[in-house]
Amino acid sequence: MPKGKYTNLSIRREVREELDKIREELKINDLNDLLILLVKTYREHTNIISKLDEITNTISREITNAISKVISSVSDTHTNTVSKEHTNTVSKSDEPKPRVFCKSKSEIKNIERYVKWLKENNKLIDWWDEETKYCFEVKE
Amino acid sequence: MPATKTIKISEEMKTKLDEIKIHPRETYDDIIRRLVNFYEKYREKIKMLNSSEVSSTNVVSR
Repeated sequence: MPKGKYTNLSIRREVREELDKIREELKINDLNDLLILLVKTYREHTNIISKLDEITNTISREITNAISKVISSVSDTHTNTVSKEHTNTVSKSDEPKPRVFCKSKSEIKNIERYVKWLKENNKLIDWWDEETKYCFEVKE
Repeated sequence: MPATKTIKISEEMKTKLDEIKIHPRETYDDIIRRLVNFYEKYREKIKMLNSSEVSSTNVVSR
């Protein structure tokens, strides 16, 4: 035992006996040396445990954040899909209804140009000749 | 036969024991009991650690 200040501690007999057994097992003569070893390894162990706890907490937080992001992104995708479906439904109902009108042949000087004009304006659905008139099915 | 025994430890060791107290009122008996339990749980690892420390001390002392 190294020189220096010493103090007496009271411990239960069975604890002292346990210490002596360990001392014999490890072939350590001095009780102080045994306690130094035990305290050192105990502290190293608890440090590792606390570091592992920190790592576990960090990983846990990161996993929770990642899950939240995935849930949020899935939820956004679902909302967008529903919204698009809704928009499609609305647009379908709002689509212009076809209208049929007829014009006497005398009114139209050049049927080909007239049809072309309707097509260019994206209005023409169909057209046909009815003896004295031309009829057109167009979008409103 | 008394239920307690007295052990003589250095002031430095006492300070180290104080440092690993879980709560301020934990007795030295409780702390050492905890160390004994710790040893029992990790006996083989501590034995290995001790033997490697002893061998490295021998190398240094040579």
